[in-house]
This record gives sequence, C-alpha cells and structure tokens, in this order.
Amino acid sequence: MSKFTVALRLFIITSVTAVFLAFAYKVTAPITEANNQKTFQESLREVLPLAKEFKQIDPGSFEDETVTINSINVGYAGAEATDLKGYVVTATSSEGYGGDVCVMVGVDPSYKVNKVIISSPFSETPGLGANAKKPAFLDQFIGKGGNIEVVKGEAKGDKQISAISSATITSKAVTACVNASIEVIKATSQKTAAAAEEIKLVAEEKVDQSNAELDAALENRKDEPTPVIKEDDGNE
Amino acid sequence: MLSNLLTLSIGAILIENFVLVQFMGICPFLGVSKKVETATGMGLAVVFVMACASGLTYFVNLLLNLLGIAYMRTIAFILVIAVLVQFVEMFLKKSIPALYNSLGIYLPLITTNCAVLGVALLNVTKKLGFIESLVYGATAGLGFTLAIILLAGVRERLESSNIPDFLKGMPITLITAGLLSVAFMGFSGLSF
Amino acid sequence: MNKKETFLNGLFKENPTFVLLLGMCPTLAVTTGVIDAMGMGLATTFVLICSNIFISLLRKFIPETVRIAGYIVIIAGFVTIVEMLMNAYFPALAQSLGMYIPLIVVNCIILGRAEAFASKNGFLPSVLDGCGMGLGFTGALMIIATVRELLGAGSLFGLPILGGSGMSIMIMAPGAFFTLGIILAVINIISAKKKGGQEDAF
Repeated sequence: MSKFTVALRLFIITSVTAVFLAFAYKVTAPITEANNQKTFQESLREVLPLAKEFKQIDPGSFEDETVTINSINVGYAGAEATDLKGYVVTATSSEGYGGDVCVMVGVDPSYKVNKVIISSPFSETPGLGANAKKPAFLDQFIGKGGNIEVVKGEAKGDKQISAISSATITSKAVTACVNASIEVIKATSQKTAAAAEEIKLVAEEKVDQSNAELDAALENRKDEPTPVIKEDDGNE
Repeated sequence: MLSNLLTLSIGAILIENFVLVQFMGICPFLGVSKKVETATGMGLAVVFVMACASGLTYFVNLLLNLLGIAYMRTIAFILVIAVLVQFVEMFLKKSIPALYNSLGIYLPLITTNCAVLGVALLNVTKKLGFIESLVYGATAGLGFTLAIILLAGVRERLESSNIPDFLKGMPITLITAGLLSVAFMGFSGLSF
Repeated sequence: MNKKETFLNGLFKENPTFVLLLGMCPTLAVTTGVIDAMGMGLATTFVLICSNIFISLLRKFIPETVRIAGYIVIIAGFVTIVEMLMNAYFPALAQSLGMYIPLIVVNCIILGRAEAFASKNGFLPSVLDGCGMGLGFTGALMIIATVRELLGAGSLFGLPILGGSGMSIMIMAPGAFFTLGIILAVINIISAKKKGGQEDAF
C-alpha cells in the first residue's frame, strides 16, 4: 500500500469521525445549555429560599487577583419587587487545586452569609477537595460576615472556618470566593439600593401620573356646560 | 510569575504527585519499576514527552478555541501525543539505541500513559499560559520519575526478601506503592 | 472460543482489572464511591463495545502501519460522544468523574482489546468480547469501590450505613493501592488452593 493510500485512509477515518462529532455536538449542546439554566435557577432558590424573584445586576469591576465575580442576582419577594430578601453571588476562584472553583453564595440583607453551595466548574480531587461539596464544610460559612480566615484544626469564632484535612488549597479557594462575594455586595449595595429606589420611584410616578390624568379629566369636565336636565317636553 | 511556577512545580512533584496522589501513569509505574535503571530511563523519556506535549497542545488548544470546535480537544490532543511519541521513538532508535532497546515495548506505550494526556488536559482546565504549561508538564514528569525510581528501588530490595507466595508480584508492589503514597501525604500541608 | 466463552472470558478468566492488570488509572482513581465506579465502568463499556464494533468492521480498511493511530481516532471519537452525552444527561456524574472521562481514551483495556481481538475477529465476537471485558471491568471497579466506600466513608451508593464515617485513609490515595493489592493477594490465595486441590486429586 502506497504511503498516499495509507495517509488518505487515515484522513477519511478522522474526517468521518469529526463529522459525527459535529453532529453529536449540535444535538447535545442545546440540551446541556438548558440543563445548565435550569440548575442555575434551582441553585439561586437553594441559597436564598425566601426570595421569589431574581433580578440580575451588573457586577461592575471588582478587583481581585484570584477571584472573578461572575454574576450578582438580587432576590426579592413578591411582585412588588421592593421587598429585598438578599443577594446571590456566583464567584470563581482560579486557585482551586484542579482548576477553577465556582461557588454560589447567598447573602442576606445584613451582609451575612445565608448559604453556600458549590456550583460548576469544580474539579477537585475526589475524596479530598471534592469533600468541599459536603454540608459539613459549607455549613461553617452560615451566618459569618466576611473576611473569613481558613485554619487547620478547630475554628474559633466568627472569622474562622476549619479547612478540610489535606485539602487546604480547595478550602482556601472556596473561602476566597465567599469573602469576595460579601465584599462585592457591600460595594454594590448602593447600586441595589438605588435600583430599588428607582423601581419605587417609577411606581410612584405612575401613580402620580394617573392621578394627574384623572384630575385633568375632572377639570375638563368642569369647563363643559353642566348638562341641564330640562323638562323633557318631548319636542326637540 | 516565578513564585507561581514554583508553586506549580512543588505541587506536581510532591504535594499532588501525579502517580501517588492523582493516579495517572499507573500502568508503566507498576510495569517498568522492576529495575532502577530501566525506571530512570522510562522516567526521563516521559519527562521529555510530557514537556513537549504540554507545549504543542497549548497551541492546538488555541487553534481549536479559535475555530470554535473545542469538543475536538480529546481527539486532537491524543493524536498530537501519538505523533510526538512516534518521533521520539524514531529519534531514540537513531541516536541512543541502548535506551531504545532497554525500553522496548514500553516506549510506544507512553502514548497511552494517562499522565501525558492528563497533564495536557490539566493545562487547559487550570488555564495555564505557555511557559506555565511547559513547566507544569516537565515537573509532572519529574514527579512521575521520582515515584517510579522510588518504587523500583524498593522492589529491587524486595527481590532478595522472603515474601509469602500469595503476595509475590503485584500484591506486594501495590502495598508498597500504597505506603509510598502515605509517605507523600506528609507533603499535603506544604504551601508557599 | 465459542460465543459464550468469549463473553465469560472478560468477566472471569481474563478479567481486565484483576488478571490482565489493565486500566489501572481509573481503577484506583474513581473507586471512592460505588456510584462513580459504576458510572465510569458503564461509560468505558459503552466506548469499548462501540470501538470494538467499528474496528472490527473496518479491520480490512485500516492500514497496518498506522493501525494504532486509526484505533485511537475511533476510540477518541466515541469517548468524546460519551463526554457530550454525560454533560447533557448526567451532569452530576460528569462533575464527579471530571477529567477521567476524556482519559478513557488512554485506558489500556480499550486499545488492548482493539489490538488483540477486534482487529482479528468478526462483528458478533467483537461485540461479545466488548461486553464481557466491559462488564468485567465494571464489576471489578464496583467491588473495589464497595470496600473503599464502606470502610472509608461508612456509606454505600452515597447512603450512610456504618454510622456514616470510617477510616479516611481508605478514601484517600493509599487506600486505593492497599485495597487492590489485598484483593489480588486474596485471589492468589484462592487460585493456589484450587491448584493445590487439583494436585492432591492426583
């Protein structure tokens, strides 16, 4: 068999495979995306169960070497969209052991952690860093107010949590995300307060406007001759 | 940058050793560790392949991302590695035939060494730059070499020991590897 | 070998994990929990059967000089399909298996069977060989995972059993080496007894 035939056959095998993969990708990619969206919404509700509606706001520019803020969602209860229930921040730390560690933090309006869950991407070592997903580790963050330090062994007080044994790198990455989340909420809470104010103002404006229209209509009616109820003599 | 490289290196060699902690490259680790000499040869060949593979796959990954076909990554990477190992084989056959002969069939088997594909994929997951990928690839190979030489050293000693029949061969090798792994756990608190 | 023997071969006599000692990397890495072990085993079985089928059907088409590269392309293709399917339909499992899914490509079992069997046999025997080897691998992984999860985390399939905690070392790296080593030692003892028994019979 000539070298050309060999190369050609190999090329055919590779191309056919590539075509099949492109097809499989077209089919599975939308499903993966839909799943991701669904999981995201479910996670939002998990970390901030009191909130009924979520509104995404611009994270702005948050400066930190290792943590990126992916998204901030503000949680409201009820249709009025003015009853603030808290914030949900997704943050990714590039300092995980196996790559990025993405964490979702629910923060209540007093800037204390409501709940932390691990989201994806997360590829820490099974049996070691992967234990960061367990409530035993994550529940340590509940109620803490930021600037949390990771210690090995017993954690004392409100500013410390205990690292997972032999998974300090993962523990630190998660903590960095939580700390950054609280920082960014404090920084942007003026934005959220402003946003909430705006919604309130717009609502009030609408009420004012309809009141004004009503008044104007009544005014106009006053200028019109009052319909006199004549004696109806039948002939007009 | 330099401290970053140092953290990567110490991580790859000690704290999260590719063989004893991350379980990559186990087949050659168990198969080529009978003599320290062959183990060293294999280790060095793997260091070279892993470093080159890291460098090449960095650019392949850039290209794939540019063309928007990231899902072809696995195929592209393994093909690059297979071709790389072919070239290394041809090169060794001509230049260092002694090494080529002593490695025998284990040389082409470097293609299926999980550590080579593993480090290429890890470079992508960890979003490492070009120099960082090269360093990580090379030091991961060094970690593999360290582990395989250690095991070979112990196995050579075990040859002249009185081991019960049912433990001879793989069982005692695995238990030894387990003990090496326990020893390496001692590095897990290390940080920079 | 008839069809039944081909299938059973992979389960017992030439079990890829305990006898042929192939595919060690995932065997040690993914056996921290029985569910992960089962997922990995079944994913590998799927790739093994598919690649065996195609390599067997294409065995006259793939040129000998580049056969390894050819096998690798076909195997990598199926691994990528498994990756995509897992991400779409089993995202939780895909998360826990992580990087080890693409590493199925370099699982020596698949390439080994392609070279030793599928390239030399017809369609049906290749399918049976793939099934047998794949299920043998899955079974072996699940046995190791059962030991590690039970002793290391006191749970099985994620459900707490023995008080929900155990010797962490079993879940960590050394535990994998020890478990496999001891299982192999036990197998040695059993097969030595069998041989001894047969000799006594004479």
